[in-house]
Amino acid sequence: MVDLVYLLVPGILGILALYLNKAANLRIRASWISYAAMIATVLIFVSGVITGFSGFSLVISRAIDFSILFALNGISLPFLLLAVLLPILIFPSRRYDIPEENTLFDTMFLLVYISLISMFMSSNLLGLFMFMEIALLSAFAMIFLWGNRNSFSSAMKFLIFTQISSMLILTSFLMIFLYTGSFSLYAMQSILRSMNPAYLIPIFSLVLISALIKFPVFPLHEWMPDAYFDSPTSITSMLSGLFSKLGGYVLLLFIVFLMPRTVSYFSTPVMVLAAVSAFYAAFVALSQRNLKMMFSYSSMLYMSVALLGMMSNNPIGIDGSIFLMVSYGFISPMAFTLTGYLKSQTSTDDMSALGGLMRKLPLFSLFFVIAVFSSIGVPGFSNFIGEFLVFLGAFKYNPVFVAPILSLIIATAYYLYSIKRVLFERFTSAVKKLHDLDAAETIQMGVFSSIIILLGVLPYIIINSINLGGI
Amino acid sequence: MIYLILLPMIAALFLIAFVRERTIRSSYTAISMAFLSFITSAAMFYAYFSDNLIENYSWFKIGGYSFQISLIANNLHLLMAVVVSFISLLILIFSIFYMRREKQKRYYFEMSLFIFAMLGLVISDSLILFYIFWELMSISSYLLISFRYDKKPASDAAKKALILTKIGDVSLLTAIIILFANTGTFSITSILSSLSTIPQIYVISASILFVIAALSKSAQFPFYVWLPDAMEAPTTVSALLHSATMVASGVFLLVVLSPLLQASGIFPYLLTVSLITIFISSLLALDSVDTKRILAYSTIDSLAFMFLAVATLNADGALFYLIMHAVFKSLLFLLAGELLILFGTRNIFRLRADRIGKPIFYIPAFIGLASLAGIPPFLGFFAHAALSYNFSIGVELLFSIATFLTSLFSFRLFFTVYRYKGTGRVREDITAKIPIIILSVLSVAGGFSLFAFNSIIPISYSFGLFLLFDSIVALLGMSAAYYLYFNRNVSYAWLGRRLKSVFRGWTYDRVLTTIGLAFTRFGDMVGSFENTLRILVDKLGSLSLSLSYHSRRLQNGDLSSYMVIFIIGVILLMILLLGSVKLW
Repeated sequence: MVDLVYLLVPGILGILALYLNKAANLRIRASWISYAAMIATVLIFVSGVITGFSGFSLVISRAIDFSILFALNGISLPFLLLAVLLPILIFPSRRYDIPEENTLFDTMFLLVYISLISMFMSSNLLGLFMFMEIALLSAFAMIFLWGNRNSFSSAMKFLIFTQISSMLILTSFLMIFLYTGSFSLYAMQSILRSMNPAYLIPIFSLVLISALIKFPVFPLHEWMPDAYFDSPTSITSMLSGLFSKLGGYVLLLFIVFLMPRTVSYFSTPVMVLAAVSAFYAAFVALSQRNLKMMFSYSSMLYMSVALLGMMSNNPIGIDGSIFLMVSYGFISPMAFTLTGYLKSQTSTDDMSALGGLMRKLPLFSLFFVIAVFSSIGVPGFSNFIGEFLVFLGAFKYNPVFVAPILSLIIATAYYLYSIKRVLFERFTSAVKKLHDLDAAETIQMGVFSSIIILLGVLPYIIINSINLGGI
Repeated sequence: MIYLILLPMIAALFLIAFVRERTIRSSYTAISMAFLSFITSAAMFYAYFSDNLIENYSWFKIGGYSFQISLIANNLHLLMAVVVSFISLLILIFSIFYMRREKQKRYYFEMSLFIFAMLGLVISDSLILFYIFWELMSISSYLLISFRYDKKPASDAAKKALILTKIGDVSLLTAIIILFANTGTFSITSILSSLSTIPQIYVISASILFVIAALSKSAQFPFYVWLPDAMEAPTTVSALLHSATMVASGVFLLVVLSPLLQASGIFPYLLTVSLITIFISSLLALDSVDTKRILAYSTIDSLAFMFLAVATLNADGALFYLIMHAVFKSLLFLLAGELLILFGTRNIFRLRADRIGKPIFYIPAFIGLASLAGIPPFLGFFAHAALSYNFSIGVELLFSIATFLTSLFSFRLFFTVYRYKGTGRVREDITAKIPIIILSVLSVAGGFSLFAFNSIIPISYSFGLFLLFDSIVALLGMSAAYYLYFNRNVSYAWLGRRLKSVFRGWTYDRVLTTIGLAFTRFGDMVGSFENTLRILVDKLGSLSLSLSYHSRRLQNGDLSSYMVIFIIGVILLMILLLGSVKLW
């Protein structure tokens, strides 16, 4: 048995080591410390998956039932996998836009890393909220410290939107506390389930709006394009890969465990909204001529599809939406990393200025094609399973809601446009001397692709780890 | 049974992982694996003859639903596997000649991927597995069409093909979702045996979606425009994917699912669509001047024949035509590829080298085109006998017009290209000739397999009055083509010109492009709306900032001090909380 809190130990030690390294001038490369901390976390996670995890609890205040309570619930394992594994794959992309020796960046990255892991383990809503806030505020700081010229306003926009979302979610937690006298998922589950589902509508609507902002879903998505575009590559990858899943995770806790019967009041309107959002994102992505913007809106499309699945409120739809979130959580950072690489090489990510890179950059092209094909749901890659299950679940809720599947045709159109503009036809870049992916980048992309293919071929890795029965 | 599809997959993986570019090994790897696949499928066909074996593999489970994949071995599926692996093998051998100056590794990898997908498709009994291979075929087709990616036509054609087939893929997936939600299984045999339990509305909607999927994959009206453009691919690819096997998988889908479609009553509509396709494609073939485009239109035409048979409840006739078509159409494409390599053009009026009119060229071409036209005793004649078994008198009449047109455009091609007497020398290449000779022999003699076919799959055929009439019509078409096109140097005979003027307004391709553009325009509109929204949100932000200007004097507006205050607040709160614990 591995205590869940052990997952945080390497990260905390890593932060201390980074500080010591800087203060005592030990001249160890900061990124090595970060890698060591994250790899140690993965090893602990793997041993935990093999031998089983045990819970952890540290009471901070009994009066308001505030404690650090770590335990796995039925849906946290896939998200925990994403939170433990993904940052290691994203971290190498710091080379594209972060200065080589930057202890602050590494420290904040580790801080985000451990707070996200803690968030997905927290079974106390107040603790969950605290860790989420730490992660979001660090992300805000990282956007405006290392983003491009407009990053301050984008970061502010991100902060305002997420803080509104956080206030809503905190309000709902407080209302639950008023009803149940507890912030612990275990304690509140039985009380909330015995209550009249109609009374819980106000709480659920607050959680829902909060989640819709974090997803993001039309019309609450306006923080997303700016924040994704103006952030450095690694932070964009973190935002689309992990931060967009926070809202979904909290919403799923409520849908699956706390208020399964209240969801039925919301399913139809929210699924309509998800469908609108999917088409909206698809069409906006179709109009984009900038690769990073296109991937941003594409990420919004798949998050809307995931929302569609979880609101269908049946096991297939929920499993599908979790699978899609995890799967796209690997695919979209891969796409953003490739964009970052492209920008570092050609100094542009504008598709109209690119072309014919397949001849010059064969390895890059291979991984770009993999990223695109896995996004549009080619079987063998992970997204296919997620999309299929989501639409199956939506169909089982109401046959009408299979209609958003048509947005995938639009997705195919813009993704193929990007392949055509970036890889095919004549070579047009202003920069003549290009270097293909080096060994480190090839390994990074290779691991991304292998995970995507592995999940696509053996989807039960994720699906068997989901248990919708209870907390 | 799984070994059958594993072989080409191993070849593909081996090629992408180990083999280096510009070595001969890639072709040998692919060919030897295709050969092994052929042997395996033939052995399986022999071993499981008149058997009906289903292998189930459980993939994953959610709730009460089990997502199973299953493979099936019976005469129908294994016969298809034999045909597919045989044609693939011949075309890969031809590729040694045709692709020797191209990128070997990429080509053979993608071809092996395709063979893997196609073999998997024909032996899969589970719809989800069918979809997986169906989509993998789309992808390998996309990759192969864009083989010469730095040329704009190729890159455009690849994109067009994948988007148009994606419409069909999405329809297929939706149909599978409908059936799975209603029956809880993917197995085609179980679904067909429990048809009566599915509500009629779902039977109808699933059938419509299946038909859309088949029409888009098989390049029928209204999706056909991708196939002529896909001729940008290397000719061997056109021979394998875009005539003999992949495009026929739409027909195969409907053949397998014909009980479902029959229950939905969709066949009259399918009949209409295939008749429309037949006339459009044969007129367009008559109008083309490019060997490969003519063959592409003739493929659309032949596939429409198969749909016609499916729609007249003669699925086995369609299947027989499918197999025969694979033989003579791949022969024709290989000949076109040989001409392209040797004489450097696909334009039928520019193919004027005096070496073309040699028996080594025109005899296989005559055999292939006569099969296509349905002239006895070649392959197509027997295929017509199986095809037309269930036709009503009206369909028979329309079909004979179609036969006339098919024969006309086939022999237009023949008499235009091969009219010169050959004297010059031409370089012979054994790898090019072997597949052509094998396919020619099959096209001459293979038709008689119709009489043996009944022992494999029960099939009905009639050599009645209609077939006599049909072959006379085909011969008439041939004579008309001789009269119109032989010994004439005009680029268009009067008929072609007249037809061209009738169809001058024929801009269907442009209509589709306009629809595509309309989508893009709509996307641009939504995009500009999105930009407005963004500006609006920014304005809202600055408005609230200016409103709060007066209240802001209390604070200095510095973000870092806000953060400090926030953190101090959090700490104070924590202290308070901890304190309250003690007080409690």
